[in-house]
Amino acid sequence: MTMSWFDGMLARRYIGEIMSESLVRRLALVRRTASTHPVTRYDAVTGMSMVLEEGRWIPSHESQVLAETKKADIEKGEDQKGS
Amino acid sequence: VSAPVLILTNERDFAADGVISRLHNRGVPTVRWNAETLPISSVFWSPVDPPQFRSVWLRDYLPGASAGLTVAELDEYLVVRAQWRDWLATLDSVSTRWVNPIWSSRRAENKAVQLTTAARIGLRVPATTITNDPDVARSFAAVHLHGAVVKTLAPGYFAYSDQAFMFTTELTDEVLSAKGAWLQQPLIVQRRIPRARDVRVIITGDHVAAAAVTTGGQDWRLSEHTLWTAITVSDVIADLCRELVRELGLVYAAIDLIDDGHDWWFLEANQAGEFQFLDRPLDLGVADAIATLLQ
Repeated sequence: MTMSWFDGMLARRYIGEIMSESLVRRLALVRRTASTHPVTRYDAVTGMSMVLEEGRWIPSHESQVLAETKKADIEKGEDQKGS
Repeated sequence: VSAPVLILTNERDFAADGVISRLHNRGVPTVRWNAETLPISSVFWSPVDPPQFRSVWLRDYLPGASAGLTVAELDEYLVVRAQWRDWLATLDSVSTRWVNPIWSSRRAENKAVQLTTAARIGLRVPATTITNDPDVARSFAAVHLHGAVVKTLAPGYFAYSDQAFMFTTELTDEVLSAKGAWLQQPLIVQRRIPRARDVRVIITGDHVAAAAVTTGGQDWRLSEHTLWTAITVSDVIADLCRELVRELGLVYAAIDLIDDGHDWWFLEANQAGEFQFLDRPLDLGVADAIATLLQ
């Protein structure tokens, strides 16, 4: 199988050569969220995120909407990674 | 003026918000650096005058590349990113408590290290091989009654294209048939454990919290309906999980296990694992425990 070029050179072992699609790429799924994602914004003054609830911005740690959001909807598919 | 707690994360880290609010309620000053806006200010370091922080909570740090970069732009991004990665270690002074310690956290990201350590201390670990050879994987699966699953060795998240993610996948003949695709990377092939329920045990210092969920699939993150319940783990499991965290040189980890109805099996330890999706609805006390570690 021939690979498709995709954004970024990180995925390439040999620049300019055609390589097979990786199994990681082949098995990867684009996940759909199971619940409606809340509207959020980051407040640089308080250093915390705010969530829009019934027309008002609520600190995320007080938000009921966010509390009901599945883990899978509020992260990128993996736990935080540090560095 | 007392030194602040430094929180390294991103703007969408809602779990960090909960811990920061607790620290503020306790009168502890905090500084938050988000990966999206790094660098946020001037930084400095010298051997005799390192930056002073009471503690560092390392959740997320390095910014991601933008999609559509040219080769030259990507090259520059990677070089600059490497400078910031090494700069982080300048904060590693003896007076600063890390959650988690920087060098241990990097080592603990490696799943082979996790599995080896877990097995050594006595946790039950599924038979595992790491290979890029589908024939090896096929032979491995053939000797196990319930077959095998395949999972990534490092995160399989395609951040710059379609945000796809490789979850734990059953090792089928179709998966095994892609020989060329297998050769591109090593992957974890592991004996499939029939699960009664998935368990996440969250260790924060000596604090132990746990929750369980029953789903039908190989990866609960793909399930449409996940109803987690708080559970109390046995003293044996609690002690083993604490020991695992200590052996990995950590103070925090979210440990994923399978309960097959008879035995508990270790899958992985996430040194920066998520907790809020369990902590808030089930009131497990994790955010409080993290704030206590940091203050």
